[in-house]
Amino acid sequence: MEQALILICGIIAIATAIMVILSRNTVHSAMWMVGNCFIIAVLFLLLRFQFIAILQIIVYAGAIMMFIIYAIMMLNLRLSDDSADIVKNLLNGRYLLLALLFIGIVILGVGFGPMALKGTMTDQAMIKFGEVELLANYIFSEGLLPFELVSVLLTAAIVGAIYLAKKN
Amino acid sequence: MVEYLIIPVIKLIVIFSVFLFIAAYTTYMERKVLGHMQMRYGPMRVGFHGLLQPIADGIKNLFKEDLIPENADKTVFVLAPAISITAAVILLAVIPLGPPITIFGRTINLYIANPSIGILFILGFSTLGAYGNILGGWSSGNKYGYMGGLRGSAMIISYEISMAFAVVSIIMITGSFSLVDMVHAQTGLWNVFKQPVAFLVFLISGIAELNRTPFDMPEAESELCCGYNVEYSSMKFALFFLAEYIHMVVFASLVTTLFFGGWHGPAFLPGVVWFFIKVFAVIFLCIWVRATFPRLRYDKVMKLEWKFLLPVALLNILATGMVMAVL
Amino acid sequence: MKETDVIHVSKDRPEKGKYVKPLFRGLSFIFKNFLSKPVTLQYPTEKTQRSQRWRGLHRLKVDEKGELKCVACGLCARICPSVAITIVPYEEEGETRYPKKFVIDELRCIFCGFCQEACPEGAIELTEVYDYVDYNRKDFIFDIEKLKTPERFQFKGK
Repeated sequence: MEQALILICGIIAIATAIMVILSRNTVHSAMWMVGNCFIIAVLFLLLRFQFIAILQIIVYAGAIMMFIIYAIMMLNLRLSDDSADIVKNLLNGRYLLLALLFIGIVILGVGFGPMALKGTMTDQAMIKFGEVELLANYIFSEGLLPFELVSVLLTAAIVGAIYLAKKN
Repeated sequence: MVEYLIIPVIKLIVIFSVFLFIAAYTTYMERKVLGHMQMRYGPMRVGFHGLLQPIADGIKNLFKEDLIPENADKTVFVLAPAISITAAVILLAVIPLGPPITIFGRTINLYIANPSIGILFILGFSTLGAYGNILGGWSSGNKYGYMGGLRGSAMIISYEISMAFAVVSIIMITGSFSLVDMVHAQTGLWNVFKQPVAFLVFLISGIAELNRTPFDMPEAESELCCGYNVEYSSMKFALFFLAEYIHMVVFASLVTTLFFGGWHGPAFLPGVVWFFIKVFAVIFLCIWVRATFPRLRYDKVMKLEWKFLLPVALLNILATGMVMAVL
Repeated sequence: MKETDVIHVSKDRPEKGKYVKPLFRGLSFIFKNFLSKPVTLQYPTEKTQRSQRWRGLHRLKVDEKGELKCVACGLCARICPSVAITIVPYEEEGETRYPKKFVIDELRCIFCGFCQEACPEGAIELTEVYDYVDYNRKDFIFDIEKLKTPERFQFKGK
């Protein structure tokens, strides 16, 4: 049951991801991407990661996609004609084969990955400690160094963005 | 079977219809209270003191012509109100209405679900509701709608942050994301006394997220002639309208749950009644604010958020953390 | 520009930087409004008092015997600036003159009240009825019967 659901969600996720590329309209692309974020949140839910799933919705589907749609509307992007070529090339066969291969690999990965990979965050541990606590313990003990490094990197990125914006 | 299927379905239907009814009558309450605040009567004709007005409005909207403008992006145009109403209704699932009650020997919890991430669920899906406004404005093929959608997305991006930060300080003193735990934590002292700054920030940014009058940028009547929903008619408009009022009721119940102690109150009334009294008090406050303050200029709204509310909320988190570390 | 050139419209406008107190003043003012009685009237059932000199629908006065005071002299029709009055007089030998037909087109009438001033007998007056409504244009052409009792055309709701 769960495996089947994961497979279905994986296929929908891939389909929406492809639609992001194929849509001729930029806002439609952004909407497909919102759908994609959503389906990925569902995948997290199926892996019993409520917290990560809702973070996926808040951060990606909520905030970041909102930023992207805001940028698209602000720049007033129109229909692009290049995407027609992509569709033609896909139908030509070369890219289609690649895409099918990719889909197959991802389905295999999504479908059979969870069985193979099991770290410290098992169902039992989650029920025992609560997932947020588990995650927090991991981030602030074992993963502290990468976490801090990432935060430094993000701060640097923000400072750089402000610098670039100030120049204009 | 009974435990996992029938009771949840009954709860679903009851809570959904109760909240739909409340949302419909919030429109009546808004018109009536706003009228009296402007020394008018408000609706008086349909039924006793206009009590049947929401029903008359609903019937009127059903029978109006459903227009789709020629310039519109038709799929998105139809999809936008659906997104709006879905994201609004889904929020009702996690709101705790009262203490558990006993019917026919069964203990029934007065909420549909109590996920361990309840408050994050509400924050996430209330943002998604804004997609309805933005896409509705964009797909209308109308410059006013476009501007309304643009402003709507800017508002959400800005005010979501301070709202979340205000909630974070509540999460810190509760130690849980679950709304039920938050209510339990307020048995003695309500959070509004423990966290007055967070309450103010949450109230202001919540009203801004609801797009209500001091901050109604996406639908500024005098500038954008109704903004994102300018091209909508009939049931599609009604769905937008309903979504807005369901959001308002959810916001009021959220303020009640987070800051006014949820269902807690003196024992002579049941918890559910206390909950709804508080919810209507918050809705009254929203209407009061709407009746008093004129719309802010767009850049001032952004200034208020980024230069006042956000630093205040951050400082509040810092102060909360310090106090918690000391105690 | 000197300071004296500036006209301050509002004397009690708060100084720059004072925001919070005025907000609460506004809130309390609105709440006082909320508690006070509405100033509007429920129109068809409640109406404002008309002035004595209000010029509404016309009335043809009758004397104590129940006959029209009008002698069909035609002065009102003469003076009417919008030519709204049509009179067909009727006269028998030795009897008083009276109008056989007295028609006022209320859609043409501009309610100037000249007919009232011109009438030598005081037979026509303008009443306080101001809200006559109907569906057809021909219903606004008033004959003698309608002109005798214009009060019944006052709008009272359904």
